[in-house]
Amino acid sequence: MNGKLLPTVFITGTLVSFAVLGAMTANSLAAIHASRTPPLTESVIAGKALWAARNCNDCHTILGIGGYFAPELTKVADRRDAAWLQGFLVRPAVAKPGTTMPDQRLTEADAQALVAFFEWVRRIDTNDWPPAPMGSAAAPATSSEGAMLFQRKGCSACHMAAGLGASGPGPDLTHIGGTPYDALPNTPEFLSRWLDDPQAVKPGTLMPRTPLSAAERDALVEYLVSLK
Amino acid sequence: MTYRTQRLAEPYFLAAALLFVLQVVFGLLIAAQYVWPTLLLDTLPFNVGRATHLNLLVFWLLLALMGASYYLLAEEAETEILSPAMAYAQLALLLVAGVGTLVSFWFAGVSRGKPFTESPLPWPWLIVAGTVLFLVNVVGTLIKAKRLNPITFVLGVGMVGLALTYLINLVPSANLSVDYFWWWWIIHLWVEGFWELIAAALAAFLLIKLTGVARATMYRWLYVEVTLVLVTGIIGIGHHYYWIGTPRYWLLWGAVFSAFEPLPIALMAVDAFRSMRERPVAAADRVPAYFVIGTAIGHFLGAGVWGFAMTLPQINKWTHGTQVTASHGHFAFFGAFGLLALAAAFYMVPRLRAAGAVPSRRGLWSFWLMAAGMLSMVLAFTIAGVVQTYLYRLLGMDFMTVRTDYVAFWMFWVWAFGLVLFLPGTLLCAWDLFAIGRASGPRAPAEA
Repeated sequence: MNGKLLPTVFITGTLVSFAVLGAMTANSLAAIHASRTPPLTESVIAGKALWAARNCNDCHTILGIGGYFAPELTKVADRRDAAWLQGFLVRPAVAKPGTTMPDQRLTEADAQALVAFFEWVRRIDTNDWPPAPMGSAAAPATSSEGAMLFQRKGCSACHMAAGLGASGPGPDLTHIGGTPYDALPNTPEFLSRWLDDPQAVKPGTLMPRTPLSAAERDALVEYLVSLK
Repeated sequence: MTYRTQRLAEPYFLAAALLFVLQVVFGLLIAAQYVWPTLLLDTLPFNVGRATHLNLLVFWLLLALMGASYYLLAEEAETEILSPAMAYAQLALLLVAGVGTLVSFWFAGVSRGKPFTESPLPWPWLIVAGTVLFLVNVVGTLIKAKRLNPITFVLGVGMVGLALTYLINLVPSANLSVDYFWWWWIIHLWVEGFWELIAAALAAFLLIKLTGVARATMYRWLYVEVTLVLVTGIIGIGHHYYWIGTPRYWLLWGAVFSAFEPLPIALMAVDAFRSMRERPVAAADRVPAYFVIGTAIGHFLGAGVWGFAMTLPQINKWTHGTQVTASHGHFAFFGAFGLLALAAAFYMVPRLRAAGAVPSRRGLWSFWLMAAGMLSMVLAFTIAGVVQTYLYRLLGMDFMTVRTDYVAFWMFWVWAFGLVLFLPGTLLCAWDLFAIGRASGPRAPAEA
């Protein structure tokens, strides 16, 4: 066998592969700048610099990259409004008692820059990542806020309501507004307390505590009592 | 050991062994923080621990691979290393950069943000300086020897590529998508490109030495392996470009090319087993032989199988950004590079000390403890990842609820297996690398 053949194939294959990658890189970078990411502003750049300097990325993922210790933040600006994010970033323990997010000692201006950064990241064209959970894909677009939350917060992973969701392990909630479950009341007051902390109401229940803002909880309760 | 300057490898291996132990200690700490979330919350939060864990990984692997390269290079090029002084200066620079990086994380709380490349300025410049010294020494030695064989050629290409891609680290972008686009040129082209070249060359060297397999045969396998590695792996970078703001065509290109990435890895495993049948490995080399077979299996399972399992976009859409990635990361890094670097150390260190036949009991215990520890940790990570993917991604449950109520249970087992099996294995490994050939009495006189 020709002793030069294999090294030649190795070198040629490598160079051709890098040429293709180079061309695709040029094309990708042009597309990212042109249309796939929004234009950069001063505050987005400042926010990203803070994001890097405080090493946020070793607890949180963004674009799915990073530590798996704290919530994924690519679409955080969809989940939380700017005022809540601002308050949380400046005083995490006040905005969310019991959180293990360390206080980063951010000024209001720092927090504003970070919120601008998250608003910018939210608008990156990620080819529809992260995917919507399977339950929420089934929710009709005309649903009420509570019906959407029922899917988006994972309730439908264990419960059935309006023909959507799982047949267990949680009880079927199709008629929860009219028929109480397991001798527990179905009043709005009780359901609010239940959603706040199921263990406190019924020790040993399998139902996990799902973090909800007060507004989200009220919307869910309103939806649940409407299920007759 | 034939050449005096092969001794340069020893301080590299010893430094690597210490950093390896430290890496595992920090890994245990951050695993524990999943189980006890307030542990050291104010003094050493998770992000600092994780940055430490990742950077120690890179440092110890690079130091061990560079040390092994000096040993290999002198023997393969049949000459002394160009400049021992330069090699010591390089080690000093890299150690200062490493310690500086850790001190910056721990006490100054600074970072450059992206995982694996958090090391803040000026330390990356010192790393570049150290790496340049290394390349000058390697290339200079090869030029001096006027002798290039496939092993030294592939090793050289790997080292030059590794150094060039690291330079990207010095030019961050304000656009997160662009920043991560280039970051993958470092991370992916390292572990699925240039590091694979270094690993293939080093494995070829060790297999020839351990089994006496014919060089011509080994050279052919080596070229076929590394050609396939780069032809599948360079464009296979596309599996990192599915969801980060990059054009949609990467979904196809990434899937097709990375689907073939396990092929060269499988060839390397077949190559190792085929060579091992050539002749029985000498009793004195039982420990490195175990590590060589270990890396063949671990590389195939961790990088090939676990990597392939999550590489197609239809699956990756759900698993991306979950503990499934952590299971693959641990399995692949340890299987492909950790075990190989240690195989080289266990082969070379006794020879550097002219120790003759050395006892193998401690080394074998270390191997089995680490192998059992890593396998059980990887299984726990995998279950954690699958549970997380199902509850958090498919069903849409809250991230923190899933983490504290479900993932934490499996992270407890990662921590427990790490503490009971893996850590003792690493301690034995480091102890053995320091003690081999010295334990039985005064140090053997140096060969001159």
